[in-house]
Amino acid sequence: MATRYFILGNGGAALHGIRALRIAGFTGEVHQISDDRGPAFNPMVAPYFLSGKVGWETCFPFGEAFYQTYQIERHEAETVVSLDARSRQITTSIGGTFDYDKCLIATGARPVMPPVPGLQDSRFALSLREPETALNMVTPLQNAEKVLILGASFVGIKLAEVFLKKGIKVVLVDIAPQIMPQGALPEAAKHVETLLRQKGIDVRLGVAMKKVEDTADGAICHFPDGSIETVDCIAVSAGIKPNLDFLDPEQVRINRAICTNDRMQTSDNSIYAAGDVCEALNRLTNSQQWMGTWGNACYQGRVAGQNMAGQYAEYTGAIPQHVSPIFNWTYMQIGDALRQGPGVQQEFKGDPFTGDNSFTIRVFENDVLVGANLINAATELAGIKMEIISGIEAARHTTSEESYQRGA
Amino acid sequence: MNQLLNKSQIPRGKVPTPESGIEIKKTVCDICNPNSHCGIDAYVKDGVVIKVEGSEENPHSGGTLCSKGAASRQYIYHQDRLLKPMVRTGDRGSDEFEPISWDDALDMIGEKFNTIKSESGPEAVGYFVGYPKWMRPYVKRLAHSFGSPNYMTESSTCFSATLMAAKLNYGCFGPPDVANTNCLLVWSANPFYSNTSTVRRLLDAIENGLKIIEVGPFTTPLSRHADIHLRLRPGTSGALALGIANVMIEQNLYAREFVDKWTTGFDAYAAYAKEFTPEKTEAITGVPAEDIIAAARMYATTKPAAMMTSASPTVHHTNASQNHRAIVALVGLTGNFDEKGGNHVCPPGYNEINNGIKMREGEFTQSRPWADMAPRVGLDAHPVWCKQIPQANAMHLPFQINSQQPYPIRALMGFGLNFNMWPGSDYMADALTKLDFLVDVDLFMTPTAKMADLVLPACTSFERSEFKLYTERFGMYTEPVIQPLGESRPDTDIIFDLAKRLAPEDPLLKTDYETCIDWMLEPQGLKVADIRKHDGGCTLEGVNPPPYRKYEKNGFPTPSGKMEFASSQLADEGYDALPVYTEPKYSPISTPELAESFPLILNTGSRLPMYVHSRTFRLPWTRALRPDPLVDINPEDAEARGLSDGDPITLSTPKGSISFKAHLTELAPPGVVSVYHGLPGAEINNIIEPDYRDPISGFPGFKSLLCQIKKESR
Amino acid sequence: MTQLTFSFDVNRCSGCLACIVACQDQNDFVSETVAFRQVTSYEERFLTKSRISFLSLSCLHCGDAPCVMVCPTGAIFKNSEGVVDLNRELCIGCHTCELTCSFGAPKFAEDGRMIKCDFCHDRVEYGLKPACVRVCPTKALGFGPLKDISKEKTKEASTKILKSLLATEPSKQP
Repeated sequence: MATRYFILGNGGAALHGIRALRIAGFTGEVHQISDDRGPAFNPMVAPYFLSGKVGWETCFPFGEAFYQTYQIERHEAETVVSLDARSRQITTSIGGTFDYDKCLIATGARPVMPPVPGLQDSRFALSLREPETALNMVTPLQNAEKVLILGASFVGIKLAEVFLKKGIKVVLVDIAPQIMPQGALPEAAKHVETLLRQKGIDVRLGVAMKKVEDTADGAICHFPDGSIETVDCIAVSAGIKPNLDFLDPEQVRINRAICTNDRMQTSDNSIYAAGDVCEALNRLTNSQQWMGTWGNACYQGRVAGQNMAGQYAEYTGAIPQHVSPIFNWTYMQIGDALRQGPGVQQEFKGDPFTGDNSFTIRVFENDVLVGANLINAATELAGIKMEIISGIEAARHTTSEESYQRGA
Repeated sequence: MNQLLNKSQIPRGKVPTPESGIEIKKTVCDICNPNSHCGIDAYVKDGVVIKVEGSEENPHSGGTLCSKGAASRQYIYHQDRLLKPMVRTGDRGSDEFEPISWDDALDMIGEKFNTIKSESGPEAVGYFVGYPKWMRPYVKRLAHSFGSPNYMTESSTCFSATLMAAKLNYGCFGPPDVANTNCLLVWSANPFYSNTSTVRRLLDAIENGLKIIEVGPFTTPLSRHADIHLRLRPGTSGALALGIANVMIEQNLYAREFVDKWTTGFDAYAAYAKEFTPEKTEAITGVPAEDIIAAARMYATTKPAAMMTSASPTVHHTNASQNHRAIVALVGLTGNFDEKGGNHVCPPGYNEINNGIKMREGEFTQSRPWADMAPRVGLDAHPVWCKQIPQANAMHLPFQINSQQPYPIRALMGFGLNFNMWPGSDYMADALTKLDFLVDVDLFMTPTAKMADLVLPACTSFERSEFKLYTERFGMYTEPVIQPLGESRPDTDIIFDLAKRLAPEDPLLKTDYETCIDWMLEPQGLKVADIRKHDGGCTLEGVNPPPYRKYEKNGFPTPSGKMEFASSQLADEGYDALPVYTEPKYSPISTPELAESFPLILNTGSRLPMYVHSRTFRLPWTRALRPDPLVDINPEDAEARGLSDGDPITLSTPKGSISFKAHLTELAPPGVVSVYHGLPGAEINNIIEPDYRDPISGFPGFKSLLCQIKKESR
Repeated sequence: MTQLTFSFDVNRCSGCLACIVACQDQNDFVSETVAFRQVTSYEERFLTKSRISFLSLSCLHCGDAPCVMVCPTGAIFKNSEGVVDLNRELCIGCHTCELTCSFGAPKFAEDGRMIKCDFCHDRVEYGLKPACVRVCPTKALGFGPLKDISKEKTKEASTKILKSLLATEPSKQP
């Protein structure tokens, strides 16, 4: 029987995996199971579609012809319910079972619904991850008077900007005491928060919403101090969690996400994982970390596909990094800026509101640069990156046994 | 400038396809000196230049441009371009002007100058040309036909002193024959920044094994290619040259036959050079003795060898005239004079380009003999220079304006006049206020133009025609690629119109630019029409490189007919006949007490790639490449003063202080700092004394001064 | 696909900065501090002497370009000549390419979308040179198909090495 490879998911990791498989010369069957229909959606692009910068088609970077080009047999609108690694069998939501020779799990992640009573069932709560929910935001964008954005993440801040620019009042809420709680230092977050407030966004931090009540006029959001906001839409941007419930942790090792090696294999040789569903090498800490970005997903998918096709490809890891354009600012974080400890020192430079409007925080551990936050300082990025990488190289040369074992 | 471009109508990539509407038109860039003047392909669409490139078929520049030429559009279309003649309405220097018609402006000049002529003689009116130089022959003729001997140019602070010094030795001089030489002694030149048009050939020669000896205090892009870099203390070139001669004579490496047959004064010269042992020369110059010996041996024994000097660095010292004589004497001493692969003499051609063409430029410009006119400005102060150079000495001008001796100067006709080119520029600026009438022709309302009574708008090379020669025996007669902006005009049109009022009897100035060139071209048997029909220029028919060793047939054009190690012309005027070395007027050796307060040697005016004199500061593209007024300082000297890169500093001389920022660099040796001239708001020439000059040539000592630098608390 | 590449000779570059201005003249940026080429200098001191070297760098049109991989809309792509090119209509201005590129190649225009060196590929297709290559006074910058440039450089380097091995005279001072 022909070799059958199964690709689970329809995002950047899945499609790069498929493309790599075929380019590497794999001629067997390639099946793809995904819970959506149609071309692959990139949720990163959705805010820009909503702001009117690009058309809806641009949210689908691979286009529709991809599947035919790479000869994929698709199983659309099917969710994987369980995967048995011993028998190499997948069971889906419509009751189908499939046998695989190798499998790539690239099921991505779904939005976290904070446990606010009434939120999950509110018809006004929307998230950006799926095409349908993103499209559902179009109407509020045209008609809303006020929206609440739950989660001052990078996505949340982006949405705040999109709504604000349409003349809609925005309340931005986060349970954390600062915006951008993943990777931004408090001082940098404070600057961006000031900018958001200057623009007229109502930022409320350290707030755990009490409940959400749907009414005919909108959603009533109850705050801990007893106040309420009636909003036309609640945009949920409180983080994501990996879609791996169908896996048996006895069979496939899972940490915060699926564990992989440098060939993007899971603890089971026949199963690969890539993208937002897995952990991979953080080059800075030399450990596994869940770093869900579009770029990492694409590279991981490609490596997985090459290995599945029998080639030798190594995923050399990534350094955590992120960039967000916020109004006319550009915020970047790179490395491990939140590192703490006795040898850690922070160096502040500039002020985003004066002079050349650039601001940086460099974080050193024992005089080695390990991370940074940058506002409007893109010209310093390359130097910082090089310094962080050379710090890693220097560290590598001091650990002898570990590097021998890793074959570095 | 962006308003001129309708971006949606610019074809992708500005590619000149037939449908694109882009025409490529040929012209030249004249932002810098005539030794460059790269050929330009102007991309013209709808009468607007939308892009420039170098002309690949131009044998001189071969398609290259420098950062300044590449920024041509910002020059041509700058918002500050003067578009109308302007007459002063407020006080002089108040910058209050109103437009005036060309005819009224020219009539005013005619009336004022002729009145002054009748009251005080034509010599009371001076004529000055700065940059560009393309119209100089016509200004000179106009001045003399008017009756004034006082035709002056910025060459009074540029190459004319190097020419004078060389002529005192040889009567003539020539450039290095780079293509055929095996060793090039580069004395204080930075061709990578001063002459980008041919520097690629130098690099090719270096890659083919050409040996390079570099002399100069600073590290330049050439230094990585130099076999030996003689990093001397500024102002000590004369001592170094004598030290090199010492080695050649002691080790019997000099060209005996040439020296015996074709020189005078060698014995006295050799006796003097004997004092400059390698050790003594090291003590004076700071160059290690073994380097001096190695360089001397290399230059003397590699055959052929050539010397490359630059227009002005070696003569921007108070001891420069003799320094430069000592330097170029080495060419004859090694038998490389007028040799293949040595320094090859080419008779004067046209407007500083000597390519073998026979033109009557001297005859054309000297429309009245010196003897028939009053003594030139500077004749009494700098007689030796005046004898060699057919101009009045512009550096002496402010002194004569003030002293009114031997006669007053009451008016000045300026083309690109810039008082900041004078040392103690405030002294020159103040002198200008004493004139009865000042006219300035320029493209922009410069600080000098602001002081004028009349400002006339000239146009760029893109907006007019020009007769341009190149050393490769190539010639061009350009056509305007765009219409002149506003009411701006070619300088020569202005000159010929002035001639109607100021020298109406002059038969040639009654004609036009092309006719005058035809007249000058007559000995060559060429006409402008022959050249003009070749868009982008052509090889000049019948122009051949002159032979080598012309002196064997004609002797040397000196009083003795030979190369003069000891110059009788200098002796006649009471100066040392030998190229005697003296310290710069201010130096750690000559003025040690002064050096205690001003311990750093100050060099000014060394070339930067994005600026030339006061030009191109207002162009955003070039200005962005080095926007701040900087002092180049060695990290050692900076550290001693607690300075980091970019720190605000004050630079002080005995005359005054200016604020700069520190630029820490190894290009400057310890103990020497370098500042560019012409920086807006930080004009270094202001804090140089107006009489800090070489007595023989009158040239300012721009490149060996004393200063102190302190961190500024701001 | 032929891969076009720039070539650069560090021994010839004099840091004249003409390449920067030629790029600006070609591309008409609104701001004078934006150009697709940067020139960096490097100084070395040897006792009493020193030396300066320059590097002129634009987008390197990487073979496996990271910006192409990470662009969320596929706006960045490699064309048939290996030039990393951009379809500006698809650009959302997310700056991910700027974050990813180690060489600072992506810049951003007033409309928030990315702009970058496109190898002057419209000109190259027409048989002309990129603006920076054309202007270079020292001929330090060149361009051509990667295969051909590679061959040339190998030949040049081998010749130089052979010459220096066979030379009897001391080589140049540092």
